[in-house]
Amino acid sequence: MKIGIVLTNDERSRAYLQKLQKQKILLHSYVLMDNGDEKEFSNEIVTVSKKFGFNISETTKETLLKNNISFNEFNFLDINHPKLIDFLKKNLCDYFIFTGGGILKKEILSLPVKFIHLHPGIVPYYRGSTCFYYSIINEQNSGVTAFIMDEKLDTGEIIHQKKFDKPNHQFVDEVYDPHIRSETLIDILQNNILKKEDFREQNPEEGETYFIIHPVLKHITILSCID
Amino acid sequence: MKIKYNYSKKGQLHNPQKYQKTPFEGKKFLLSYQNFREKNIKNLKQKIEDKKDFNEIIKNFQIEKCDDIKFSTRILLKSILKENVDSEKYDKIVNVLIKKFEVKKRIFSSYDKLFFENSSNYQDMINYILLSNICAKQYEKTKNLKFLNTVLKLNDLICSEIENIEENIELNLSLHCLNKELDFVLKLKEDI
Repeated sequence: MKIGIVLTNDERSRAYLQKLQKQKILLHSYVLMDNGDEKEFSNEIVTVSKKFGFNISETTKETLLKNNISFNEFNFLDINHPKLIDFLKKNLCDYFIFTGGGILKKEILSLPVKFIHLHPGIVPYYRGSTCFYYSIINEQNSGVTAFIMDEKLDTGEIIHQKKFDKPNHQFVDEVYDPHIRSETLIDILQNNILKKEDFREQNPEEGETYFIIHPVLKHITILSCID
Repeated sequence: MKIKYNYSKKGQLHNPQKYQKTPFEGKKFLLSYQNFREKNIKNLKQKIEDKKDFNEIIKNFQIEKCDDIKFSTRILLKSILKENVDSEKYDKIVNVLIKKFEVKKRIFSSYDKLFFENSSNYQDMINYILLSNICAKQYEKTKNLKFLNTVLKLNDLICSEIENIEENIELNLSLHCLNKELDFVLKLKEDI
Protein backbone atom coordinates (compact mmCIF):
# COMPACT_ATOMS: atom_id res chain seq x y z
CA MET A 1 0.00 0.00 0.00
CA LYS A 2 1.36 3.42 -0.99
CA ILE A 3 0.82 6.23 1.50
CA GLY A 4 1.96 9.79 0.95
CA ILE A 5 1.71 13.03 2.90
CA VAL A 6 1.14 16.62 1.81
CA LEU A 7 2.99 18.74 4.35
CA THR A 8 3.04 22.45 5.07
CA ASN A 9 5.29 24.32 7.47
CA ASP A 10 2.73 24.64 10.24
CA GLU A 11 2.75 23.14 13.74
CA ARG A 12 0.57 20.24 12.65
CA SER A 13 2.87 19.11 9.83
CA ARG A 14 5.89 19.49 12.09
CA ALA A 15 4.29 17.18 14.67
CA TYR A 16 3.16 14.64 12.07
CA LEU A 17 6.54 14.40 10.39
CA GLN A 18 8.67 14.36 13.53
CA LYS A 19 6.54 11.67 15.17
CA LEU A 20 6.56 9.55 12.00
CA GLN A 21 10.34 9.77 12.02
CA LYS A 22 10.57 8.90 15.72
CA GLN A 23 8.46 5.81 15.09
CA LYS A 24 10.57 5.00 12.01
CA ILE A 25 7.50 5.02 9.79
CA LEU A 26 8.50 5.80 6.22
CA LEU A 27 5.94 6.90 3.66
CA HIS A 28 5.98 6.46 -0.09
CA SER A 29 5.78 10.15 -1.00
CA TYR A 30 6.47 13.44 0.76
CA VAL A 31 5.17 16.72 -0.64
CA LEU A 32 5.93 20.08 0.95
CA MET A 33 3.90 23.22 0.31
CA ASP A 34 5.87 26.09 1.78
CA ASN A 35 5.29 29.75 0.99
CA GLY A 36 8.21 30.89 3.14
CA ASP A 37 6.16 32.25 6.04
CA GLU A 38 8.02 31.81 9.30
CA LYS A 39 6.73 31.89 12.85
CA GLU A 40 8.67 32.39 16.04
CA PHE A 41 7.96 30.43 19.19
CA SER A 42 8.76 31.26 22.80
CA ASN A 43 11.08 29.04 24.85
CA GLU A 44 8.11 28.01 26.97
CA ILE A 45 6.11 26.71 24.04
CA VAL A 46 9.16 24.89 22.62
CA THR A 47 9.69 23.17 25.98
CA VAL A 48 6.04 22.11 26.18
CA SER A 49 6.04 20.82 22.59
CA LYS A 50 9.10 18.68 23.31
CA LYS A 51 7.27 17.14 26.27
CA PHE A 52 4.64 16.05 23.79
CA GLY A 53 7.04 14.46 21.34
CA PHE A 54 7.91 17.15 18.82
CA ASN A 55 9.99 20.29 18.57
CA ILE A 56 7.71 23.06 17.40
CA SER A 57 10.65 25.28 16.44
CA GLU A 58 12.05 22.76 13.93
CA THR A 59 10.65 23.53 10.49
CA THR A 60 9.17 20.80 8.32
CA LYS A 61 11.95 21.28 5.78
CA GLU A 62 14.64 20.99 8.45
CA THR A 63 13.18 17.63 9.54
CA LEU A 64 12.99 16.40 5.96
CA LEU A 65 16.59 17.40 5.23
CA LYS A 66 17.94 16.15 8.57
CA ASN A 67 16.49 12.72 7.88
CA ASN A 68 17.54 12.59 4.21
CA ILE A 69 13.95 12.23 3.09
CA SER A 70 13.42 12.99 -0.58
CA PHE A 71 10.51 15.34 -1.10
CA ASN A 72 8.87 17.52 -3.72
CA GLU A 73 8.54 21.16 -2.79
CA PHE A 74 6.02 23.74 -3.99
CA ASN A 75 6.25 27.41 -3.07
CA PHE A 76 2.52 27.92 -2.52
CA LEU A 77 0.04 26.96 0.14
CA ASP A 78 -2.94 25.76 -1.84
CA ILE A 79 -4.07 22.15 -1.85
CA ASN A 80 -6.10 22.82 -5.02
CA HIS A 81 -3.23 24.38 -6.99
CA PRO A 82 -3.07 22.95 -10.57
CA LYS A 83 0.68 22.23 -10.20
CA LEU A 84 0.05 20.14 -7.11
CA ILE A 85 -2.87 18.31 -8.71
CA ASP A 86 -0.69 17.57 -11.73
CA PHE A 87 2.07 16.22 -9.47
CA LEU A 88 -0.36 14.02 -7.52
CA LYS A 89 -1.77 12.63 -10.78
CA LYS A 90 1.71 11.54 -11.83
CA ASN A 91 2.68 10.23 -8.42
CA LEU A 92 -0.39 8.33 -7.36
CA CYS A 93 -0.64 6.80 -3.92
CA ASP A 94 -3.51 4.83 -2.37
CA TYR A 95 -3.76 7.43 0.38
CA PHE A 96 -2.44 10.92 0.97
CA ILE A 97 -2.44 12.36 4.47
CA PHE A 98 -3.83 15.87 4.36
CA THR A 99 -2.37 18.34 6.83
CA GLY A 100 -3.96 21.60 5.72
CA GLY A 101 -3.81 24.21 3.00
CA GLY A 102 -7.47 24.73 2.18
CA ILE A 103 -10.64 22.80 1.48
CA LEU A 104 -10.37 20.07 -1.15
CA LYS A 105 -12.26 21.01 -4.31
CA LYS A 106 -13.90 18.68 -6.82
CA GLU A 107 -10.88 18.33 -9.09
CA ILE A 108 -8.51 17.07 -6.42
CA LEU A 109 -11.21 14.90 -4.85
CA SER A 110 -11.81 13.22 -8.20
CA LEU A 111 -8.23 11.87 -8.33
CA PRO A 112 -7.96 8.11 -7.77
CA VAL A 113 -6.41 8.65 -4.35
CA LYS A 114 -8.05 8.91 -0.94
CA PHE A 115 -7.21 11.86 1.28
CA ILE A 116 -7.08 11.27 5.01
CA HIS A 117 -7.93 14.09 7.38
CA LEU A 118 -7.28 13.98 11.10
CA HIS A 119 -10.09 16.05 12.55
CA PRO A 120 -9.77 17.17 16.19
CA GLY A 121 -13.22 16.08 17.31
CA ILE A 122 -15.23 12.91 17.73
CA VAL A 123 -17.71 12.99 14.86
CA PRO A 124 -20.66 13.18 14.45
CA TYR A 125 -20.90 14.99 17.81
CA TYR A 126 -18.08 17.42 17.07
CA ARG A 127 -17.85 18.52 13.46
CA GLY A 128 -16.51 21.87 12.24
CA SER A 129 -13.94 24.19 13.73
CA THR A 130 -11.95 24.24 17.02
CA CYS A 131 -13.95 21.27 18.31
CA PHE A 132 -11.53 20.38 21.08
CA TYR A 133 -12.53 23.49 23.01
CA TYR A 134 -16.20 22.58 22.93
CA SER A 135 -15.44 18.98 23.83
CA ILE A 136 -13.25 19.97 26.78
CA ILE A 137 -16.00 22.21 28.19
CA ASN A 138 -18.68 19.57 27.68
CA GLU A 139 -16.81 16.41 28.51
CA GLN A 140 -13.47 17.33 30.07
CA ASN A 141 -11.72 15.49 27.26
CA SER A 142 -11.27 15.67 23.54
CA GLY A 143 -10.79 13.35 20.61
CA VAL A 144 -9.66 12.91 17.04
CA THR A 145 -11.43 11.30 14.10
CA ALA A 146 -9.48 10.18 11.06
CA PHE A 147 -11.69 10.04 8.01
CA ILE A 148 -11.60 9.88 4.23
CA MET A 149 -12.28 13.36 2.92
CA ASP A 150 -15.30 13.98 0.73
CA GLU A 151 -16.93 17.12 -0.62
CA LYS A 152 -18.84 17.82 2.58
CA LEU A 153 -17.51 19.07 5.90
CA ASP A 154 -16.26 16.30 8.22
CA THR A 155 -18.71 13.70 6.96
CA GLY A 156 -16.39 11.18 5.24
CA GLU A 157 -15.97 7.51 6.13
CA ILE A 158 -14.47 7.05 9.58
CA ILE A 159 -11.12 5.27 9.70
CA HIS A 160 -10.34 5.58 13.39
CA GLN A 161 -11.27 7.56 16.51
CA LYS A 162 -9.20 8.19 19.61
CA LYS A 163 -9.93 10.10 22.83
CA PHE A 164 -7.45 12.21 24.81
CA ASP A 165 -7.36 13.78 28.27
CA LYS A 166 -7.67 17.53 28.34
CA PRO A 167 -4.31 19.37 28.26
CA ASN A 168 -2.50 20.56 31.37
CA HIS A 169 -0.95 23.56 29.63
CA GLN A 170 -2.14 26.68 27.82
CA PHE A 171 -0.85 25.94 24.32
CA VAL A 172 -3.97 24.29 23.03
CA ASP A 173 -3.85 25.47 19.41
CA GLU A 174 -0.10 25.19 19.01
CA VAL A 175 0.77 22.00 20.91
CA TYR A 176 -2.31 20.07 22.08
CA ASP A 177 -4.06 20.11 18.68
CA PRO A 178 -1.02 18.87 16.67
CA HIS A 179 -0.18 16.40 19.44
CA ILE A 180 -3.56 14.64 19.50
CA ARG A 181 -3.79 14.53 15.71
CA SER A 182 -0.28 13.18 15.26
CA GLU A 183 -0.78 10.52 17.95
CA THR A 184 -3.91 9.34 16.13
CA LEU A 185 -1.98 9.19 12.85
CA ILE A 186 0.73 7.06 14.44
CA ASP A 187 -1.95 4.76 15.88
CA ILE A 188 -3.43 4.23 12.41
CA LEU A 189 -0.13 3.51 10.73
CA GLN A 190 1.33 1.34 13.49
CA ASN A 191 -1.79 -0.80 13.66
CA ASN A 192 -2.22 -1.12 9.88
CA ILE A 193 -5.75 0.20 10.16
CA LEU A 194 -5.77 1.35 6.53
CA LYS A 195 -5.05 -2.16 5.25
CA LYS A 196 -8.14 -3.51 6.97
CA GLU A 197 -10.30 -0.94 5.11
CA ASP A 198 -12.93 -1.41 7.79
CA PHE A 199 -14.24 2.12 7.52
CA ARG A 200 -17.54 3.31 8.97
CA GLU A 201 -19.97 5.47 7.04
CA GLN A 202 -21.35 8.57 8.69
CA ASN A 203 -24.85 9.92 8.61
CA PRO A 204 -24.31 13.58 7.64
CA GLU A 205 -27.67 14.50 9.18
CA GLU A 206 -26.59 13.37 12.63
CA GLY A 207 -24.47 15.28 15.12
CA GLU A 208 -23.41 18.88 15.59
CA THR A 209 -21.29 21.34 13.66
CA TYR A 210 -19.39 24.00 15.58
CA PHE A 211 -17.85 27.24 14.35
CA ILE A 212 -14.61 28.94 15.32
CA ILE A 213 -14.53 29.43 19.08
CA HIS A 214 -15.09 32.86 20.57
CA PRO A 215 -12.13 34.06 22.68
CA VAL A 216 -14.28 34.17 25.82
CA LEU A 217 -15.11 30.46 25.53
CA LYS A 218 -11.51 29.76 24.57
CA HIS A 219 -10.27 31.43 27.75
CA ILE A 220 -12.81 29.63 29.94
CA THR A 221 -11.62 26.32 28.47
CA ILE A 222 -7.90 26.96 28.82
CA LEU A 223 -8.23 28.35 32.34
CA SER A 224 -10.17 25.22 33.31
CA CYS A 225 -7.22 23.14 32.08
CA ILE A 226 -4.44 24.99 33.87
CA ASP A 227 -6.06 26.35 37.06
CA MET B 1 -0.85 45.23 32.89
CA LYS B 2 -4.43 46.06 31.91
CA ILE B 3 -5.85 44.10 29.00
CA LYS B 4 -8.26 45.70 26.57
CA TYR B 5 -11.19 43.74 25.16
CA ASN B 6 -10.42 44.02 21.45
CA TYR B 7 -13.16 41.96 19.83
CA SER B 8 -15.82 44.62 19.69
CA LYS B 9 -14.04 47.50 18.00
CA LYS B 10 -16.35 50.04 16.39
CA GLY B 11 -17.89 49.38 13.00
CA GLN B 12 -17.93 45.58 12.83
CA LEU B 13 -20.89 45.62 10.51
CA HIS B 14 -18.53 46.73 7.74
CA ASN B 15 -15.26 45.35 9.12
CA PRO B 16 -16.20 42.07 10.73
CA GLN B 17 -14.11 40.31 13.34
CA LYS B 18 -12.91 36.90 12.11
CA TYR B 19 -11.79 35.37 15.46
CA GLN B 20 -9.02 33.35 13.84
CA LYS B 21 -6.04 32.27 15.95
CA THR B 22 -6.99 34.48 18.87
CA PRO B 23 -4.27 34.63 21.56
CA PHE B 24 -4.61 33.36 25.11
CA GLU B 25 -4.22 36.35 27.44
CA GLY B 26 -4.82 34.77 30.83
CA LYS B 27 -7.37 35.42 33.56
CA LYS B 28 -7.29 39.17 33.00
CA PHE B 29 -8.89 38.73 29.61
CA LEU B 30 -12.12 37.47 31.11
CA LEU B 31 -12.17 40.43 33.47
CA SER B 32 -11.69 42.84 30.58
CA TYR B 33 -14.57 41.13 28.74
CA GLN B 34 -16.83 41.40 31.78
CA ASN B 35 -15.98 45.08 32.31
CA PHE B 36 -16.59 45.83 28.65
CA ARG B 37 -19.99 44.15 28.59
CA GLU B 38 -21.03 45.76 31.90
CA LYS B 39 -20.10 49.16 30.49
CA ASN B 40 -22.25 48.55 27.43
CA ILE B 41 -25.15 47.31 29.56
CA LYS B 42 -24.90 50.49 31.64
CA ASN B 43 -24.85 52.66 28.50
CA LEU B 44 -27.88 50.88 27.11
CA LYS B 45 -29.80 51.33 30.35
CA GLN B 46 -29.07 55.05 30.23
CA LYS B 47 -30.10 55.27 26.59
CA ILE B 48 -33.42 53.44 26.99
CA GLU B 49 -36.18 55.95 27.64
CA ASP B 50 -39.01 53.45 27.81
CA LYS B 51 -37.98 50.23 29.56
CA LYS B 52 -39.99 47.27 28.28
CA ASP B 53 -40.33 43.71 29.47
CA PHE B 54 -38.78 41.20 27.04
CA ASN B 55 -41.80 38.87 26.97
CA GLU B 56 -44.13 41.80 26.42
CA ILE B 57 -42.08 42.99 23.44
CA ILE B 58 -42.19 39.52 21.88
CA LYS B 59 -45.89 39.12 22.57
CA ASN B 60 -46.64 42.38 20.81
CA PHE B 61 -44.64 41.66 17.68
CA GLN B 62 -46.74 42.34 14.60
CA ILE B 63 -45.90 39.62 12.07
CA GLU B 64 -46.56 40.70 8.51
CA LYS B 65 -47.23 38.08 5.86
CA CYS B 66 -44.13 36.71 4.09
CA ASP B 67 -43.61 36.58 0.35
CA ASP B 68 -43.71 33.06 -1.12
CA ILE B 69 -40.54 33.44 -3.19
CA LYS B 70 -38.35 35.59 -0.98
CA PHE B 71 -38.75 36.43 2.65
CA SER B 72 -37.78 39.18 4.99
CA THR B 73 -35.25 38.03 7.58
CA ARG B 74 -36.73 40.41 10.12
CA ILE B 75 -40.21 38.90 9.81
CA LEU B 76 -38.83 35.37 9.94
CA LEU B 77 -36.74 36.08 13.06
CA LYS B 78 -39.67 37.78 14.77
CA SER B 79 -41.88 34.77 14.02
CA ILE B 80 -39.30 32.39 15.45
CA LEU B 81 -38.97 34.43 18.61
CA LYS B 82 -42.72 34.92 18.98
CA GLU B 83 -43.94 31.44 18.13
CA ASN B 84 -41.56 28.94 19.59
CA VAL B 85 -37.85 29.21 19.27
CA ASP B 86 -37.20 25.50 19.75
CA SER B 87 -39.92 24.05 17.58
CA GLU B 88 -38.69 21.54 15.02
CA LYS B 89 -40.12 23.74 12.31
CA TYR B 90 -37.63 26.49 13.09
CA ASP B 91 -34.69 24.39 14.23
CA LYS B 92 -33.26 23.98 10.75
CA ILE B 93 -33.82 27.65 9.86
CA VAL B 94 -32.02 28.84 13.00
CA ASN B 95 -29.09 26.55 12.17
CA VAL B 96 -28.93 27.89 8.61
CA LEU B 97 -28.96 31.48 9.84
CA ILE B 98 -26.25 30.74 12.40
CA LYS B 99 -24.12 29.23 9.62
CA LYS B 100 -24.79 32.25 7.38
CA PHE B 101 -23.67 34.60 10.13
CA GLU B 102 -20.69 32.51 11.22
CA VAL B 103 -19.36 32.19 7.68
CA LYS B 104 -20.10 35.66 6.28
CA LYS B 105 -20.40 37.53 9.57
CA ARG B 106 -23.41 39.24 8.03
CA ILE B 107 -27.15 38.72 8.01
CA PHE B 108 -28.89 39.94 4.89
CA SER B 109 -32.32 41.49 5.08
CA SER B 110 -33.85 39.06 2.62
CA TYR B 111 -33.22 35.49 1.46
CA ASP B 112 -34.93 33.24 -1.05
CA LYS B 113 -36.48 29.87 -0.26
CA LEU B 114 -33.09 28.15 -0.58
CA PHE B 115 -31.52 30.72 1.71
CA PHE B 116 -29.51 32.48 -0.96
CA GLU B 117 -29.15 36.20 -0.31
CA ASN B 118 -31.86 38.17 -2.00
CA SER B 119 -30.65 41.57 -0.96
CA SER B 120 -27.36 43.39 -0.58
CA ASN B 121 -28.51 45.05 2.61
CA TYR B 122 -26.83 43.69 5.72
CA GLN B 123 -27.10 46.86 7.80
CA ASP B 124 -30.37 46.14 9.61
CA MET B 125 -29.25 45.88 13.22
CA ILE B 126 -32.59 44.41 14.26
CA ASN B 127 -31.70 41.16 12.47
CA TYR B 128 -28.51 40.71 14.53
CA ILE B 129 -30.35 41.63 17.72
CA LEU B 130 -33.21 39.21 17.02
CA LEU B 131 -30.86 36.35 16.13
CA SER B 132 -28.84 36.96 19.28
CA ASN B 133 -32.01 36.72 21.38
CA ILE B 134 -33.04 33.53 19.57
CA CYS B 135 -29.62 31.96 20.18
CA ALA B 136 -29.70 33.05 23.82
CA LYS B 137 -33.08 31.36 24.25
CA GLN B 138 -31.75 28.24 22.58
CA TYR B 139 -28.67 28.17 24.79
CA GLU B 140 -30.81 28.60 27.89
CA LYS B 141 -32.91 25.64 26.83
CA THR B 142 -30.28 23.25 25.38
CA LYS B 143 -26.97 24.38 26.91
CA ASN B 144 -25.49 23.74 23.45
CA LEU B 145 -22.33 25.89 23.29
CA LYS B 146 -22.84 26.49 19.59
CA PHE B 147 -25.59 28.95 20.51
CA LEU B 148 -23.59 30.74 23.19
CA ASN B 149 -20.67 31.04 20.78
CA THR B 150 -22.90 32.80 18.24
CA VAL B 151 -24.46 35.01 20.92
CA LEU B 152 -20.97 36.20 21.93
CA LYS B 153 -20.09 37.10 18.33
CA LEU B 154 -23.43 38.75 17.60
CA ASN B 155 -23.15 40.76 20.81
CA ASP B 156 -19.62 41.88 19.92
CA LEU B 157 -21.10 43.23 16.71
CA ILE B 158 -24.07 44.80 18.53
CA CYS B 159 -21.74 46.54 21.02
CA SER B 160 -19.57 47.77 18.17
CA GLU B 161 -22.59 49.44 16.58
CA ILE B 162 -24.34 50.51 19.78
CA GLU B 163 -24.17 54.21 18.91
CA ASN B 164 -26.25 53.53 15.81
CA ILE B 165 -29.06 51.75 17.64
CA GLU B 166 -31.80 54.28 18.30
CA GLU B 167 -35.15 52.52 18.30
CA ASN B 168 -36.58 51.72 21.69
CA ILE B 169 -37.48 48.10 20.90
CA GLU B 170 -34.01 47.45 19.49
CA LEU B 171 -32.38 49.00 22.54
CA ASN B 172 -34.51 46.91 24.89
CA LEU B 173 -33.80 43.70 22.98
CA SER B 174 -30.06 44.50 22.86
CA LEU B 175 -30.04 44.97 26.61
CA HIS B 176 -31.80 41.65 27.06
CA CYS B 177 -29.34 39.60 24.99
CA LEU B 178 -26.31 41.30 26.56
CA ASN B 179 -27.61 40.61 30.07
CA LYS B 180 -28.39 37.01 29.17
CA GLU B 181 -24.96 36.45 27.63
CA LEU B 182 -23.11 37.80 30.64
CA ASP B 183 -25.17 35.59 32.98
CA PHE B 184 -24.44 32.52 30.83
CA VAL B 185 -20.71 33.21 30.68
CA LEU B 186 -20.35 33.84 34.40
CA LYS B 187 -22.33 30.68 35.17
CA LEU B 188 -20.26 28.60 32.75
CA LYS B 189 -17.04 29.94 34.23
CA GLU B 190 -18.24 28.99 37.70
CA ASP B 191 -19.48 25.52 36.73
CA ILE B 192 -16.56 24.25 34.69
